[in-house]
Amino acid sequence: MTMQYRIEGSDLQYVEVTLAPGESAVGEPGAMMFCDTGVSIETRMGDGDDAGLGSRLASGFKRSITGENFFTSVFTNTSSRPLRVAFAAPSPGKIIAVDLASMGGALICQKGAFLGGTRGVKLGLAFKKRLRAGMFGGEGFIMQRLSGSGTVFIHASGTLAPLELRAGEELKVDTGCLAALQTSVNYDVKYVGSLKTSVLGGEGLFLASVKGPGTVWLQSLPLQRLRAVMIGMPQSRGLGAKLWYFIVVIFVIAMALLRAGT
Amino acid sequence: MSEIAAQLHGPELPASGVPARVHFHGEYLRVAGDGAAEDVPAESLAVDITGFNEDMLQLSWDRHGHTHAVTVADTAAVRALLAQAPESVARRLKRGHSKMGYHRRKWNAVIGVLAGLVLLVGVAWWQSEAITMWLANRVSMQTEIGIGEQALAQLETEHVLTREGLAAETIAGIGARLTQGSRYQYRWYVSDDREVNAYALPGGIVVINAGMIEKAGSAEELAGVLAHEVQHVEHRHTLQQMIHTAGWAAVLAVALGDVSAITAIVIHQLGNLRNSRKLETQADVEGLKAMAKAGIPLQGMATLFRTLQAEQERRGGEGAALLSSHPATEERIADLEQLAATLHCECQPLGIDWAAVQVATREWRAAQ
Repeated sequence: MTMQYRIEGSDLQYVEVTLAPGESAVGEPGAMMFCDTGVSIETRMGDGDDAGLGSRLASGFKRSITGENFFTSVFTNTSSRPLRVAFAAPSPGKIIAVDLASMGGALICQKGAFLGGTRGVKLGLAFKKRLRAGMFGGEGFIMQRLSGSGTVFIHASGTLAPLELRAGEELKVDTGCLAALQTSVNYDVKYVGSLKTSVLGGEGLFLASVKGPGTVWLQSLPLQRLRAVMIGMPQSRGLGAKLWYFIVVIFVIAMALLRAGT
Repeated sequence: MSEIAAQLHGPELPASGVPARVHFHGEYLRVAGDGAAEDVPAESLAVDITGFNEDMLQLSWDRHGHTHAVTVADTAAVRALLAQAPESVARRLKRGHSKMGYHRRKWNAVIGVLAGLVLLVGVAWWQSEAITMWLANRVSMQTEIGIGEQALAQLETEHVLTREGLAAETIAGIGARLTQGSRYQYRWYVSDDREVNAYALPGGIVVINAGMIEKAGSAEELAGVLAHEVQHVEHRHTLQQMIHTAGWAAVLAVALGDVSAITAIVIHQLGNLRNSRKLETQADVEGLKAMAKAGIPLQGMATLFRTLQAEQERRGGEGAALLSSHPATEERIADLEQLAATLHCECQPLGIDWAAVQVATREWRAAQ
């Protein structure tokens, strides 16, 4: 049974999942936006499945390493009619739904990308076994590996562009822009190629490189870059505010002088 | 022939590919997926590695100018494929497989080296004492004597040292009994320093301050101090302590073979060196044993410490310099007494006119 869902909004999105009676969905704690009464909410350690305590503990740790919560919220429709639960994206960007079965059973995402999905989806570690890619690829050594057979909702800031790569087809990607990739896609970093470009080109020394076959999702605005832009903004409130402040001070002094005069 | 799970990619298929099953039969690769099956000539297959961590094998072929490919995910599946591959493609497959293995092994090596380094640092920290001892024992006697000589020269710029006179000769006499059979050639000095203290320098140089001689109540008490200091030399405590304090600088210097650098560090530190409690205890115990062997009464060490400690308490904390490096705790004195009681000793009093030695020392010091 595939999950029924609807993604709403343009840049500040949420996904509304319709749960059939008895069906469950999992979401990151704090991601829930609303849900119908009749949907039970349960917080569980790890991936929200019924595994033993030890493996739940282990999966909890894996989750925390990959930028997710130690716990998972499980939403279950306990009524006899379809009910809704919605998960909101934590930052401006896009939510995409990926059917894991069509991806060969697994998907690799950047840290913290997982928003929610079918109950039973496993969240694991994808450790990038290449020093240069881990250090300069912009995604770090640790990424998320989502595996299982259901639907997952992943989120990334900016616009998410799915790009389809044929076998052997290669794409150069700005570091940090890689949001998700299929397991069959090869990921590496390459030196920009010339000193001039690397110094003046604004892309840094390295570019990520992805090679097909498979699909990659690229984000137009990585969160770090958004943050840098926001922090770099001028802090002052402009001339108007200063002028207003000045007028108030003059007024107060004038009043004080008038009082003293009388 | 067993079928192997793969993902099939092609121009008319979704970019993420579709699940397929593959196996070799004869000179062909049979690709079955999505209801349809096709046979691809084995010799037209190109072998590559792909996947997030170079952990997938990719077999691709051209048809009507379009590239088609299957990817095989796990090593077991790749091995199974290799086992059934015909001659024409086996070599390429083998190369691809070993390339996957190379990436895996390379990463394992990186992890292994990192883990090894962490382990090494951990062991070094855990076994630091054993390592410093080992390092100290690696230093040649010649180097040790050299360090001692330089330290002595340093000391001579501040104080007058002598090997002559009644005091120095008496000390040498007691010392000779305590150091019988030693690999070191001991030299015994008396310093005109009034501080109640004594030092052992590496290589067998023992310096007793005039203040120490004046404070010791008997020749046996001084023998206790000598026995203790001698053990610092015998067990290379000063070297160990130097290596310990100089730490990485010393390790580096030793590794580079530059002994003069450590010597410089060490001589600078010599005045501030404090043997650890453990080394002090070792010197106490071994010192008492040496005294027992030499037939010198064992109580001297404890009674001296008691006198010094009592004096320190009377003066309100300010006492002999010896105590600052040799804390005379109750525990230590009790341990000394207890050990002295258990050691078998055919001890004879030294029979030295200690008062005369003290007078001679005082006169000599006054003359400086």
